[in-house]
Amino acid sequence: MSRPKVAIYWAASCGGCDTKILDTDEKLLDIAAAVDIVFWPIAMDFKYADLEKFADREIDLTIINGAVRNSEQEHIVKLLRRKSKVVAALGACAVSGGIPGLANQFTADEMLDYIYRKTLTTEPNSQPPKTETETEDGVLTLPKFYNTVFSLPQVIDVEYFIPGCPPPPSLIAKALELFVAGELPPPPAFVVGDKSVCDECPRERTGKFEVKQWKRLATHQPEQSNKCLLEQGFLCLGPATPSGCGALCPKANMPCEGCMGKSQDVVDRGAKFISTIASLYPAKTEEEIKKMLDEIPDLVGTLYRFDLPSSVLRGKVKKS
Amino acid sequence: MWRRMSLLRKMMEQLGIEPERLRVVWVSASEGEKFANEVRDFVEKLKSLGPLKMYEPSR
Amino acid sequence: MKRITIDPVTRLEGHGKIEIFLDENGDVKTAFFQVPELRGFEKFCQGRPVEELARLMPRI
Repeated sequence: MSRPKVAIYWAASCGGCDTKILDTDEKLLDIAAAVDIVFWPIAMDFKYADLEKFADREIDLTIINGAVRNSEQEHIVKLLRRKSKVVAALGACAVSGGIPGLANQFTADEMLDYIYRKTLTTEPNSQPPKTETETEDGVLTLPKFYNTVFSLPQVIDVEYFIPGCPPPPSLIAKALELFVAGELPPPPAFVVGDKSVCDECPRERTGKFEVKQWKRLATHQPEQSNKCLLEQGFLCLGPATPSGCGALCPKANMPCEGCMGKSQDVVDRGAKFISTIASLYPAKTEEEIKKMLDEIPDLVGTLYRFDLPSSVLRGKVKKS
Repeated sequence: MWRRMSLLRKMMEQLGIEPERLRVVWVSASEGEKFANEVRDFVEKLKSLGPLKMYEPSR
Repeated sequence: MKRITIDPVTRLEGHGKIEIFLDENGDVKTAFFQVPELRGFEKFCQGRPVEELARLMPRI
């Protein structure tokens, strides 16, 4: 009996998700023995031309990490969707846009203009790359850089979601073990815990609390205590984030960044967290409200750090 | 309530939506004239801002 | 004139494509390495609070 075929692709990715697949340690050996990996650029030498040769739905599981923000990435994820029975989105970028999704606050032209003409270390006369470049011997091509960063489900149908930045190896191992055993739940399904990060966090809250000042890590250090970081006044996204990571960051004295995405019963996480911020901060006068707003300098970047592309507002409206 | 609205307004502004498009007014059922004035004023304001432009994903 | 395309470059971090043009003798005439990816950290990190950089940069 042939082993199931598994493809792993990275789109607009940092390589962290692939590293976490490797961090499943010895479990990876069992998984690798049970499947046939047919594409995995970080570790194996298969080419895009090899993918073209598969029949439709011949690949049993394709795992895609990284967001989609250029034409090559869109082409390959659509190709993989055709050639695969099941697609899983791995990591915050594929699930909801991830950190590269913050680029939705800018247009492609704004980004290319700054990056290729105006950074401190850009050479003079540098120009943004073109999609086609003629050389003496032939035309070289590059993908088109899109205006928008797309999460994977915004481009293709996705059956399974393993969020996190990076996703905890324990969740990756669990998903792969379920796949190998043929016991994946009916799609769509998120491989996360069913509580919030707060439930996994060992820190303690003193019942009902108020935050009189939102503290920035640039100017304040968390106390050397077991006190809840939100109660201390740091913008910890624990209450708005599903469990599954073991609350690694709060255990290391850092407020939760919210990398596991939003819980499925919330439509827009930033909008929901605004309610949390507002309900904890006892500002009544216009002056006090202004103070509160000044204490959170980058509201979009803080509340939508990992999921701007999949939020309701999705990005910054272009000035006409 | 004002705290939530002011945070939402700041977020809208950061994402390129004019904060004036969000207005919160307390009007009771017995304040007909006040309601009419507020709506009239808001409609004028919106007309001067033009149609709402939401983010449009594009390639 | 033969053209050899290696796409994608594998077993390293990142995306890459190599195009090699051979002359009539089968020797390499020109070779090009292209990077078909850009996420733009240089730009979208601008204007963020300084403490965010320690969270954003590892994601490069």
